[in-house]
Amino acid sequence: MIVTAQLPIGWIFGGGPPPPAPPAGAAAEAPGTGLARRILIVEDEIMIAWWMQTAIEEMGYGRVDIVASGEAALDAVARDAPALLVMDINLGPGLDGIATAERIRETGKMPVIFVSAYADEATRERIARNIPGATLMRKPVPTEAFQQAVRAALDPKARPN
Amino acid sequence: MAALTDLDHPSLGAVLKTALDAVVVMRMDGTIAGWNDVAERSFGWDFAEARGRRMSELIIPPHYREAHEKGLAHFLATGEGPVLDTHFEITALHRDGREFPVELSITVARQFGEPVFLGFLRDISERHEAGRRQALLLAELNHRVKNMLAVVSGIAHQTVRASTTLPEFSKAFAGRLESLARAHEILTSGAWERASLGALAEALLGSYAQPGDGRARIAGPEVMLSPRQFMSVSMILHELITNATKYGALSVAEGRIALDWRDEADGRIGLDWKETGLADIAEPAHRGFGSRMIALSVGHELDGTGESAWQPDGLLFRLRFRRD
Repeated sequence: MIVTAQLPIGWIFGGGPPPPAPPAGAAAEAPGTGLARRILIVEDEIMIAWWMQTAIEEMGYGRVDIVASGEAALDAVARDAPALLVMDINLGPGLDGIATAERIRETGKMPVIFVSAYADEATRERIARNIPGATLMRKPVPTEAFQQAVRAALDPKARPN
Repeated sequence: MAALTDLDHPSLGAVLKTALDAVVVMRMDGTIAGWNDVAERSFGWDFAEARGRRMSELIIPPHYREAHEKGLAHFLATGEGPVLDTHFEITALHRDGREFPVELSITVARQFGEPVFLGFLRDISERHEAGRRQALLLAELNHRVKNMLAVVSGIAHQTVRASTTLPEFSKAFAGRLESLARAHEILTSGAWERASLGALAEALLGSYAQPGDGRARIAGPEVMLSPRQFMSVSMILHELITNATKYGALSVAEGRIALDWRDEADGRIGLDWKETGLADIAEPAHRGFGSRMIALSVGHELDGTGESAWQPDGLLFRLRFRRD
């Protein structure tokens, strides 16, 4: 008998402990709002995207989706506007992260966190000009700093004084 | 051969004729009195056209002309010339209006019948271009290193989550880094252009295909992948090999692996990983690092499909994706 399954159904024979459960009630109630919120990660390096997804899931926010290109991000946002965009800048061929965020911001003013190796002055100025209020973090980012930025973006009261 | 200078002095003529740099002779009134072949080629004017004209109007870009004229007047009044007898970089003007970088030195010569300025100019466009390319490469390298550090950080983070002990983490993490390093090595040897899927398979699985082991068989046509797809497939193959070593065909003496790929009729690449020689394969109770990573890579990086099947004697994994 052949058992066939489309990934991502598990197929590895074993491989570590089950992932930790999110905090009780977390998926249904995000901090500060009482609502679960969708977060969209736009990152073409899957290991980085996966780390971001896990880091956000550990915080107990709602669904965290990943897309790998600016064009895919536009499609995803058109289907369901996220509460937060986490964006790489260099996304390979096609739209870059800043241009993508600019288009998305035309339809909704959700917060944006850029996480990029491109964090020079010219990039900072371009972001300040086109995506006012966005945060820029330079790769590699410590998990705690990333989670703090996510928390501050989703819950402004959580911003450190 | 036409005269290269209006000054009647054999030594000056010899200098102009033999110099490898552009040489411009300028009278104290700012007009051109000599001009060699290199200057003709560099600036686009021959000596017949240049002679007697103000140098500032001919080869000095407009934004430097006022400073040039002031400097000349200051020298004539005081004998002081801060730019004399030294080398410096500046831009010069070609006949076609193009500015180009030059290395310039200016001396005052008094032995040719009347005092004149001798300007030696070397076109350093190629040097500047090489410097610009190097700066670009360094900036790109800087970005790639930071990105790679973020990838390694992500691998470490996920490997920690999937490990129950420190030795388990250490072994899995080191294996993933080694695989990453091998893939980088192949890409670097090809200047980060497209790289061979066959070379990747040999690098990761070749030791199991050697005579004396023979547990793996690798077969497929030459398929060149973009760096992005190459890195993605390398991580997928690494996880398949790791899994086979721990739980699959490479964990038992009778186990065999066949890795083959081909160009499909629909233009996609089809890659099959087939393990045999096992018994009593059971579906895992939960997803580990490998299955999550492969699912994400297949879906997001390769924009393809991955299918796994448990056959009676081992795993069959089928990957289909379109070449970048």
